[in-house]
Amino acid sequence: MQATLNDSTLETLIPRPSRARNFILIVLGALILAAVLVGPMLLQSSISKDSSGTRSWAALGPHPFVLSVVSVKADGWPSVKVDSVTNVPGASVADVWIMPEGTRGENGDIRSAANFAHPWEYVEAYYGATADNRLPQQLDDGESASMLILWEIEDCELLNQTDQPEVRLKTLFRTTVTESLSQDPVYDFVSPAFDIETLIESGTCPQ
Amino acid sequence: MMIATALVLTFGALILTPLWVRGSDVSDRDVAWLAGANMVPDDEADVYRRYLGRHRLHRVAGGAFGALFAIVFGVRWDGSFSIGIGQSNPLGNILFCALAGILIGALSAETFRLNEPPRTSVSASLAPRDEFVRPEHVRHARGLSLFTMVLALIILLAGGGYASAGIAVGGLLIAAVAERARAAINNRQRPLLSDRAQNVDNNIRSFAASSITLLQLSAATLTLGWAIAKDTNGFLGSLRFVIIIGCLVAAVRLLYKARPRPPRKWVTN
Repeated sequence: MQATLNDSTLETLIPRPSRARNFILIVLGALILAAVLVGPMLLQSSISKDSSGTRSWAALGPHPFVLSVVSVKADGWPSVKVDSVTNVPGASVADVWIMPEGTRGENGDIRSAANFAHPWEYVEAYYGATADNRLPQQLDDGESASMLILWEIEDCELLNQTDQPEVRLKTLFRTTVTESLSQDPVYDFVSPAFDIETLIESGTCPQ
Repeated sequence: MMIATALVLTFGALILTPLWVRGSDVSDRDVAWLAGANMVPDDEADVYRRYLGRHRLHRVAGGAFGALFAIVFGVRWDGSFSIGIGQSNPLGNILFCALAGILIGALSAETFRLNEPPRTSVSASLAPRDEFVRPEHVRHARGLSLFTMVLALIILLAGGGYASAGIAVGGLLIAAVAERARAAINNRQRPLLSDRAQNVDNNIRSFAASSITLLQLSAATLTLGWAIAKDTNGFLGSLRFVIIIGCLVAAVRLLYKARPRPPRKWVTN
């Protein structure tokens, strides 16, 4: 390096640091990272099947209805709103109730469904499901519950075990999230076509 | 999940802190490279050193923030982050986000006020402006961004999904940051300077404009690779894989060429 030759104009080229601007940029960066960190809790609500909980599947013959009961767990801050369940080919969702965790039928004999004029009466009588339990329902973050899905079988030809329904959820910001309850696409209690043979035996589907 | 995120953040900070410190360390060799001369007077060397220290620090900070953003986004939203092209979401991709962060950092580094003493009048040089960057590099970078946008629209119309178009729009935003940074370099205040100071100013602007144009070209190449990789129709058939790898290699090479350091084999005269 050489000795300094006195030149005052050189000094003007040195960037003038701005502490205020740097501070604002650092705060902005921290806010962006914080938003990315907490974003999923607010925007990515989810509901998952709790495989350790209650679950059942029953054909409500002679009515062309199926009742699926699955245990679910909510994941979303501060709560998850369960809005609806989608239809599958061959069956439509007749009704869905969210009940306290561990809900099971008072009388395990599914044949008693035949004693009721409508399957709704059976679900109300044996599971205690009322209009207050119907969707949409709010579940707190981490809360477990039993979901009762009443399926109406419309076309047995179209039923397929691999067709699984999806649950529609609403986030804190009213955005819709669609969630699949099934980890196993072939064998699941959630599907109305879980056991085709039972549907045939109960007279719901033809031989 | 929160514990995993905290661990990743700590790990990232541990890796990035030395890089950060190194960013502001400017050697005599760096100064000679930037000045294009072996013997640099101390007062000129001080200007180069202060400028290059600022430029590196902002770029490293921008790149580190981009990488951290990709890790946090990837882990929190998709469960994992990626480095190459085509896996998951580009917002969870370290290369894509770090490159965008470096460009934002470069823009931050180049938007500064000159260190002029307070006075009632200002001076400005009316001398013709030098061309600080190779115009074909700028044309290539702009052309590539537009080409990617058109290709993404074709992919969208052909039923290949929205992802390619989203990535192409992201690429245009990054290109806009680069254009803004180059404008900041070209349009920065030009007071009346001595011949020596004028030469230093030209060297600084020339380095910054060239480096940012190479970064823009790198980002445009990477965006093209991502847009092709995200086409669900498999447009371009078997050529697709070759083009994606080619884009990744070219983007990394351009990123390396754009670094604010002398080439490894560069020696002072």
